Amino acid sequence: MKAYIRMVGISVKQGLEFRARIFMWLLVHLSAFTVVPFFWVYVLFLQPNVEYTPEKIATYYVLIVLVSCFSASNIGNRIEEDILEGGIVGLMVKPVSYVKYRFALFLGGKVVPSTIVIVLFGLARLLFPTYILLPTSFVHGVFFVLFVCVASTITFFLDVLVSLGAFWWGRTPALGQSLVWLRGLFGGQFAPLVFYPAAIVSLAKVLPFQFLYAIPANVYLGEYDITTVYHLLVGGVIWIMALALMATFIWKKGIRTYDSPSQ
Amino acid sequence: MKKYLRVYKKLVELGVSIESQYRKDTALGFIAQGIQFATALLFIEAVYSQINLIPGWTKEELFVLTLLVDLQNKVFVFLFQGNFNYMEQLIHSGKFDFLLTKPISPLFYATNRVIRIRAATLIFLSLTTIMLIAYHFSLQFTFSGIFRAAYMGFWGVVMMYAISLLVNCLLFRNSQIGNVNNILGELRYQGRYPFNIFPHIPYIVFTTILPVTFFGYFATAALFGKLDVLTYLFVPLLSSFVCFCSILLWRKQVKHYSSASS
Repeated sequence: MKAYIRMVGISVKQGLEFRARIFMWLLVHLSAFTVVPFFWVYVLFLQPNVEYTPEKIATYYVLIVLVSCFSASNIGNRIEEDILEGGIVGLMVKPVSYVKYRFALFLGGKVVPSTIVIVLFGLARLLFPTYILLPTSFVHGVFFVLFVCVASTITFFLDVLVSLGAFWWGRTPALGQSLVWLRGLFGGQFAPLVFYPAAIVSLAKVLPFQFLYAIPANVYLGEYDITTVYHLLVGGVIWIMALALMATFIWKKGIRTYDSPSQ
Repeated sequence: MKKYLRVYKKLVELGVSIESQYRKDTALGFIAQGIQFATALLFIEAVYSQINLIPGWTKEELFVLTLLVDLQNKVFVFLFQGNFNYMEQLIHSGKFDFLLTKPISPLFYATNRVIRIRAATLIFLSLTTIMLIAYHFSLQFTFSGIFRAAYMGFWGVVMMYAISLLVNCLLFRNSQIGNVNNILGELRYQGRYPFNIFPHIPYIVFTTILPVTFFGYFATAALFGKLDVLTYLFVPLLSSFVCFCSILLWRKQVKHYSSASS
């Protein structure tokens, strides 16, 4: 455990060292939302909606940006590189679990960007109080934070799962790109899930992607009562466990077939 | 000119050879493309579940807008993306020194050496999908409309190239910002909205300061004859201007480049 805590510390220090890189990653996540929030605000101005006012949709997207910056991970690329360039060989002879090692680095890597994002969110709230609503209640606010943690962990494991494909298929940007689009659709990043046809909403409910954006944002906006929130939280934790098990299983299978590039 | 054509031909051959190693990813790329189209089309369904009519655009035209944004993107990926992704490594690993010794323009070589043949198959897929959509919804494209769209699409790619070059010039100054190309990758997909519904100020911002309208929107609007004459003049002018500035900046950076090892 001590080793992993130390790795979290190292990762925090890296974040402080490579400030420009961290800032650029934040811009990457912000750039995905350059137009879409404005688009929805104008659509809802053109035709008002009872459920979603322009203010609510603006807050929804600010929250999505917030969650996206918190949970975003570049870990998939790192794992892919480690597999393809033989980096995992060095780690396999050390008394650490590779996935836990990566998770520790992922957690540490969140500290600096998260601090920046919280400050930016505060500033945005001060500048545009009408368009950035506060949480429905204090409890909803606390649950929002918990759901952001769930979203981050699920994102991590999804990235791990996709990158493990490198054991069999080599470099596969197409898989990663598919995940981005699926997250956008079923996670509620492109549009709130309630706007989609019923079949898509039903499908989203049985996939883990809604925990990435839609559920945290809807918890903040008070779309669910507290009992539902509890149930959803349990659902999120179950998804984390299922994805962690899948990642462990695939990792073990991959390692068995692995030939280091140096061999 | 002949020399450059010969070099380019060699680079294409090299591209084919490299890409043949990524056959599995090419197959997966088709699946990814299918998912991308499906999500984009469902997004439009979501929009039309909230609004009866977007001024000036039918649902079918928005489908084409989404597909043309993707097509323009794929053309850029095919020709240039691999080079810009590689730029950080090129500049910071010292390989750029080697490039400067070649009897060829560093800009030409640095931005043309990687040709992503995989994207060509996806361009073909995009074109086929556009034709299928047009057939399914009985959309009729005129010859002049297609010509106008190709013209605006060309200038859109020039703008993408210019902005990418401009931003990648920063790599000469800062070694930490190699991920700058990811920002551009995201921005290139932001042209898929009907920008005419925006008020004046956001429209001007998205056309000049952050010119995402160049990334597919203008080409589609031209295809359906939704642009005024001034835009046909403005788009090439601004694209050329940004391109000119980016080349000037590149030359300045190359002049002051003092090798990664120094």
